[in-house]
Amino acid sequence: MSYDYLLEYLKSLKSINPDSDFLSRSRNLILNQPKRPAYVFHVRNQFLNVFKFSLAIGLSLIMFLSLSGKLFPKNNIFVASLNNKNLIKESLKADINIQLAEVKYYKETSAQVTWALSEIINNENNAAITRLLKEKARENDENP
Amino acid sequence: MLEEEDKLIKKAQKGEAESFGILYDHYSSPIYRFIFLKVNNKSLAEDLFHEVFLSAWQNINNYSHKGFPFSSWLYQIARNRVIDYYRTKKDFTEISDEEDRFITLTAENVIDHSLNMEKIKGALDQLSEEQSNVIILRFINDLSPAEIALVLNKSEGAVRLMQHRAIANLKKILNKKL
Repeated sequence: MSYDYLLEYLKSLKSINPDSDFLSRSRNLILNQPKRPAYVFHVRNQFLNVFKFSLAIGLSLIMFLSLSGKLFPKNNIFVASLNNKNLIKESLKADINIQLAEVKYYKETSAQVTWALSEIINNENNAAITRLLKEKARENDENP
Repeated sequence: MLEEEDKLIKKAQKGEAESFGILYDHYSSPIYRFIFLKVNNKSLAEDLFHEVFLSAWQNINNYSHKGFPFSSWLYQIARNRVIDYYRTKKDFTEISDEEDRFITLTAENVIDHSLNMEKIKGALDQLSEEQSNVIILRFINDLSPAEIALVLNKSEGAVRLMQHRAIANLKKILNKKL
C-alpha cells in the first residue's frame, strides 16, 4: 500500500460527524448549565500564585543558608565540600603530610634494613665457616 | 483557528454563553471525531463529547492562551476523558453494533467510504494509544505536529517520530488485511 493511498484512506474518516440533533441538544444543555463564577477561579489562581512565590522564596532561602553554613554545622561534609579554598588547603596539607610520613618511614626502615642485611651476611659467613670446619674435620677423620 | 477566537474566549470567561456556543459549533466536529475514533461507539462518543464540552464550559476560566491554542486545550480534555473512561471501565469489550455506529456521510461514495472506514478503524484500534492519537490528529483532524505536541505533551520531534512509526505500522496492518 502506498503512502498516498493510505492518506486517502485516512481522509475518508473526515466524514465522521456528530448527529446534528444530538449536537443541538448537547449545546443547549451545556449552555444552560450554570458556570462557576469567575471569582472562584480568581481566588484559586491568586492562592496558587502566592503559594508558588512563597515556595520559590523559601527554597532560595534554604539554599542560601545552607551554602553560607548557617543552616548546617561547619563540620558538615556537604557544606565543607562546597568551599573551594578549604578544599585546596586540605588537599595541599594532605600531600605534605603524606610526603613527611614517607620520609619518616624510609628513614626508620633504611636503618633496620641495613642491620638486617648485615645480620644475614654475618649469619651466612658463620654458617659457611662452620660448614668448612666440619668438612675438614671429616677429611681428617677419613685420612689420619 | 477561529476568527477573533481570543475575544470569544474572554467573553465566554466572563460568562457569555453565546460566545462559548460559537466555539462549541466550531470545534464540535473534530473533537467528536477524535473521541469517536478512540472509543468506536456512537452513544459512548456522544456521552464523552458532552462531558468534554461541559467541562470546558465550566472550567474555561482556567484556560489562558500563553501560546497554547484553545483547540489543543479541548483536545487535552478529550484525551484525558477517554483515558479516564478506559481506566474506569476494566471490562472493556467492544460489541460491534452497526446501528450504534451512526456516521453522517456525504452522498457520494457511501459504500467505498464505509468499507474503507471499517478497515481503517480496525487498523487504528491495533495501534498503540499514542500512535493512534497522532494519526487521528495529524491526518484526520489536520493538526500540525506543533499542535499535536502540545496536546500530547511531547516534543515536536517526538511527535514526528511517532507519526513515522504509526504510518509504518498502519501500512503493515492494512497490507495484512487487504
